[in-house]
Amino acid sequence: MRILYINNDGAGFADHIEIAEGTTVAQLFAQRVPEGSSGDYLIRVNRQPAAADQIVQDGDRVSFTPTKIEGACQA
Amino acid sequence: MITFNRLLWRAAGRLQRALEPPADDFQLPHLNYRLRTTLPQLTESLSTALRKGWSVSADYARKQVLSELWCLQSQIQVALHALESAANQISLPAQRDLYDEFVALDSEFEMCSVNLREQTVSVETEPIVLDDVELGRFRIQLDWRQIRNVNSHPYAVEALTPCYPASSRQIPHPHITGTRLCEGDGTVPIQQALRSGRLTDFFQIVNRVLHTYNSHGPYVALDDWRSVECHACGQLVSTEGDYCRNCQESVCESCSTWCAHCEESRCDACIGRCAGCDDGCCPNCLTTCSECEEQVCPNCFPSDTLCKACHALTTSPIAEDSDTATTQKSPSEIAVQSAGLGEVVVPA
Repeated sequence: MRILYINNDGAGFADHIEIAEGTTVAQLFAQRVPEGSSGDYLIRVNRQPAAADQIVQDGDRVSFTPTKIEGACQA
Repeated sequence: MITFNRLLWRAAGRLQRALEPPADDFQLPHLNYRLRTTLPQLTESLSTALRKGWSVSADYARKQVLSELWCLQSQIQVALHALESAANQISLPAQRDLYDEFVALDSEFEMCSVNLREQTVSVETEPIVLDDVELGRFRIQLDWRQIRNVNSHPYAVEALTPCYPASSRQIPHPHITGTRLCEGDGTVPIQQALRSGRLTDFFQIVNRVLHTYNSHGPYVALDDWRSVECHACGQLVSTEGDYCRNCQESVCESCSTWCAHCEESRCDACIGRCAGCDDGCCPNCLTTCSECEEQVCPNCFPSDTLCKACHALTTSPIAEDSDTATTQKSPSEIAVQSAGLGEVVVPA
């Protein structure tokens, strides 16, 4: 099963990835962001908020965006 | 059932055209070469301050160096990202996907508006509070005509209910100057989201940067939002520090003084001086002598109406020798007393 996965942490890449049938949002998060806590991310499936037990479907667009992103100041 | 929105469909079409890469599409972002001169200067200032033991100057210089390094890091990230993107061309999103992006913005943010003529899309954030400092709402407006120009800043962040620190009217947020956000760690994901036409990701990332405080690299530290200028000298002081009980203005420690009698804090402008002993006194503790009309403190005001000096002139001779008091007064001494005061019989 192929989905569009977007990780807005770090480089913010969007990639098409293969995942197993029946993968839930929580499982996908644990696979892709093993060090992270889901409470520290905005998780969207097809641009909508998603429940942890929602099963990801073929062709879905899944994005993880950290809730804390540090700005800086520019000279 | 979600109804089709013709305006958003047309906006998606225009955004798609704006996202089309030109044939000779590669621009290396401009690096700010000013850093070449400012960094050595600031480092030298830091060394000097450390060598001479000037702790306040050293702390200030350290923050400046840190800020410049953050800036440099951010610029390098953008340049690296531009090179990587040139190698991996991002496919042009379909108009349908861009339409879905516009639709999703409406549910993601309380306020979202699209201006087809200006080719802008804007959202409003919720009120932002960082470390108990209320900064208010912000509007993030993207001008999608500039979306592929890496050397432009295609969006603005405007404070809708600005709350400025005491030290600047240009900094509505620790990471914004004017309407420009310094993206910090958000730099690369923001550029990726813009180049891919992922509007919801772009606005979410900017919104999250606005909700995050990086104490290592703010334009102005959040502590300054808790400060006000000293009414007398302009130095920044905490909003919870001293204030003048008379005019209610904040004052720094060196411009604040205490009434010698009621011990209330006053600024220099609101403190008076006792004409008798020269003690600092608030207006409430000063009384005007009905004879000489000088203002004196309670210690120098022994009677109901006269200051100590005037009182002495009228009462001392009587107390010491009432028989001779009438004859010992000189005409000039008598002249300073008001009519009817004292018990002196003026010779004819």
